[in-house]
Amino acid sequence: MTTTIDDIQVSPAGQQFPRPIQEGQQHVYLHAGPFLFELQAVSHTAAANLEIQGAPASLLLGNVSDPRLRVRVPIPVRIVREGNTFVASFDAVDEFGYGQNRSEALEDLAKSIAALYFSLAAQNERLGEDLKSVRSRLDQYLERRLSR
Amino acid sequence: MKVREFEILVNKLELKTRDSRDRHAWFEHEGTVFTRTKRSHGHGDLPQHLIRQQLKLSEQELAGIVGCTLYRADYVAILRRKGIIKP
Repeated sequence: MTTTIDDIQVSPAGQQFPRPIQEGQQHVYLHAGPFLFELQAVSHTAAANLEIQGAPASLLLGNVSDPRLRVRVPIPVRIVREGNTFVASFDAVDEFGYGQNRSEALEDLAKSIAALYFSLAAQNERLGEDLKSVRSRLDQYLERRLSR
Repeated sequence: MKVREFEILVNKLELKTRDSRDRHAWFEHEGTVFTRTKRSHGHGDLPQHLIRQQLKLSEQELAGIVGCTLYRADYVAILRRKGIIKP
């Protein structure tokens, strides 16, 4: 039996929202853009609540929210909670994003990665060795889309 | 890290900045860009350890800069010692 879910809204782990559940399978995987979440139904009533559990502490990012860039290799992201702030980090290039929930942190990170890519490209001739290495690592994950 | 402390870093290290969606800051010495960091314009505490990592600073060194016992010249010496600025 398959759980029916319509128009799921991505939420941070622990937040509840009403959604009719017909029956069945407890675990549903929601792939929303570059994000993958695991949902577990906690009730089988007609107007049951869904509680998001097990939001991943690490995942792969496939989109940096910039139409000029394409992700060649999925970007490994670590997400931690620090007090009231969620922090998502791409450790290979020391870049991070943060926000009030995982989604905000991931979106902030995605945009920061894109901004870093173009910033380093613009300053390429003036970069020290360490930042040149960062640029080189970024090039392994990202490439510019060809303009049509 | 609070926004106020981030701005102290910017001022003490004389970081160059650019404001767009985020506030980007980078350290230049003799025409070369050696480190960079950023903060968002949104709410919430900034992840201090990650900003430290971007600026190649230890906890103690960061505290020194924010606490006004270390300045830009000290930062240059720190980066030289760590091999980020090569002779």
